Amino acid sequence: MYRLLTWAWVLVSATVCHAQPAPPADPLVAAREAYNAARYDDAAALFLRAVQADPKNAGLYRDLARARAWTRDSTGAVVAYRLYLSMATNADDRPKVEAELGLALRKAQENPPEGPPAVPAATLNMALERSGAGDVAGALALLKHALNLGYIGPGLADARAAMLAGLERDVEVSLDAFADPARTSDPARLTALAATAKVALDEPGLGLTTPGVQRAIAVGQGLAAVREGRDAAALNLLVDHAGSDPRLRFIVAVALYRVGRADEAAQSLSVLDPADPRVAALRALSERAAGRDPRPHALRALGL
Amino acid sequence: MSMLLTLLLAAPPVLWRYPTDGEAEPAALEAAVAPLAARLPDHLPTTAARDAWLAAPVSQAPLPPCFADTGVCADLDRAVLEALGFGGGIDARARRQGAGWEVRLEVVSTAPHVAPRTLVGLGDTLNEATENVVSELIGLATLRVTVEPPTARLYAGALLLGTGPGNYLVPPGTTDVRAEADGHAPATVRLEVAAGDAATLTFNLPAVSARVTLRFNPENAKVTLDHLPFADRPGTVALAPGKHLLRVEAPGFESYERMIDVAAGDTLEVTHDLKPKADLGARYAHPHPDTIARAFYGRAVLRTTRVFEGPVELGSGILRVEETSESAQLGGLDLGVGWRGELFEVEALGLAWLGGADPHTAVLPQDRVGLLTDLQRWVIRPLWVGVRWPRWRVDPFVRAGVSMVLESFTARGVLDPAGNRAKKDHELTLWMLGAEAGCRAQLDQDVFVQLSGSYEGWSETRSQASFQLGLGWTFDALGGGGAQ
Repeated sequence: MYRLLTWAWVLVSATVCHAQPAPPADPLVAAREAYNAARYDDAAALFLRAVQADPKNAGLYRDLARARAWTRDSTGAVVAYRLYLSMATNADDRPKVEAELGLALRKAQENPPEGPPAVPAATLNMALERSGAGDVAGALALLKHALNLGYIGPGLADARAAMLAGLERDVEVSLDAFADPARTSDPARLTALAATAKVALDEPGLGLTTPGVQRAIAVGQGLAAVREGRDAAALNLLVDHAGSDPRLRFIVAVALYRVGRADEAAQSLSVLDPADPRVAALRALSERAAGRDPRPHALRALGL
Repeated sequence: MSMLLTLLLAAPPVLWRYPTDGEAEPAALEAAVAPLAARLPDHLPTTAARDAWLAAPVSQAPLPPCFADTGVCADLDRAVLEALGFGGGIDARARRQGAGWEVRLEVVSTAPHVAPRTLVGLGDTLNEATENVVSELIGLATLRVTVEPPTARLYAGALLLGTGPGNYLVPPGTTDVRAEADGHAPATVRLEVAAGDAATLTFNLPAVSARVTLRFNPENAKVTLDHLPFADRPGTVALAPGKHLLRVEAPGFESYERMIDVAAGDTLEVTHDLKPKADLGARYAHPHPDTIARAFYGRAVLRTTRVFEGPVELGSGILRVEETSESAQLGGLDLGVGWRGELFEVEALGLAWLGGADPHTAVLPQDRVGLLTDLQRWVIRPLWVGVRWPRWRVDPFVRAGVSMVLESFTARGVLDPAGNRAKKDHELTLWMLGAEAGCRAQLDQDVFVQLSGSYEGWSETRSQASFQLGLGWTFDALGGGGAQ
């Protein structure tokens, strides 16, 4: 009986230990572990993620190519070897890699074209076109599709930069429209901006988890909140991102004034251009609400 | 709380600004607007008013839409005015226009859907141009009226504008402006004016009557014109042109008649003091108007009184005075106030003090002889009623009533053959019936001289006879008229 219980304990322990290996958080580390453990399918998938996350790291293409060669994906290996050789033009191991490329070419059933794989590359080009047209949400969807199709190549970094630039551009457009007294921002565009940025943030695979994306979310949601009179929520979103941006500081001051924090509103306005009539008027109102003499600012706002 | 309510209910004020790009100094233009502030109750036309309003606490108003991107501000200045709580703004500029001035107001309202507008006022002076443009701003036109005579009243329709020459504000549109003056033909001019217009009107009303200034004595004489009542007191009256018989008459006076011939616009002064009638019988047939002009009187007369000897009712004691055996002569002051009609009169209260008597003999118990010294009498006479019969300025009267006499004296006596003396003070109250007859001479409406004699006595008392001489004043009480 005692022996049976001991074996049972050993089996359960072994099962639990086997079922709960702590997977490395870094796909690159995990890929190398898999490769060294001869789990080449896993290694190829993990190296693919690593390449997509760091598309300008030439060595990763070589690692991916070798993992694919072991999985008998010779065509995929050829694509990766070629990309390595095109990027690492002065690498010491070029003769060795060229030999490996030749071996893979012999095994490959087709000779793929130079450069990134054709279908994912076409998808990525479409994403870039959409981004250039201002449709950042559509561009992100196509980027995701291209990555799922296995796109690899240094152009991925430029595509991401283009996506981020598109988001930044949307943020600037929204802020400019919001800050311009002669125009109003499009509430649908603010909502879309926040939603798009949130998609980018929530998809780690897209590789867009940057402060700029977080700022885009805050601006999109914060401006919408100010428009809707949800000033307390707007302050929670915008205060940390206002920085020295005069447009955001003014918007934050509006929200502060409207929630009764006139003293903080006056302080926020104190670093802005005092000749701006709206800044001067809001400063006068804030000073008066804070119990101070508003006249210098009111007279400046009135052009007196 | 009331202040807060006032702030909530008050209309947002309109801010006046004086940009420096005009030809007139902003301060000069502000000084021209300042006197018109009373016509602009919801405006802040001066720097002082603006600063006071800005410094005052006001309730927090919603921000304009372009502050929180809920709408656009096509005019940022207007948005700033709205944000600061103003109902609008006016930029006032002035520039020379020929020999005169042009004042231009750029008016912006913060109310939705109210378009900006520009108002222009012209004038020979900066003040005149300012007044014109302010009139237009408040929706009125200005009339500059010259009128002769300057006492003429001016109307716009049924609305009385004022009296005499000056500048008047009238509503825009078609207005009948009418000038009227006593003794002059009225004139009406129909005007078509727009808000902000400044129309000049000159009225020279033709006289349709003469003006006669009457001065006469006595002042209560009656004046008839062509045998009809015309005036009952001196003054200036209007008179139709032509010949008229003017007659001034008063009782006891010789009437005055004069035929006057006046043309429209003439001014004539008639001065005449009526002469008393030479016929004494006729003169004294009526009271002089002065004698019956005032209903109430007060008087102050000097009085000399003889107190006759007689019994004295005193208590016991060796110095009890049983009677006086010698009269005493007193003197003093007698005051009174009362009312008099044409035939009847009532003296509401008379009060006299009498003293200064020489010592006089008295009869003491056991037939001893004593002396009374320091005799004084207070005489109170309430509600004496009487009659009068005024003839011309002579006003004889008789009145009677009850008198209360408060008497005090000192009794001195010789107590024994050795010559020992004693004295004792006595006070007693006497009641008497009395009557007074006299005559007043009314010097004018206000003053009379009075001379009278009176007797007051009763059984078993020492009666007294008096003679009074003094002055009186007549007056109207409670705004009442005379006794006539």
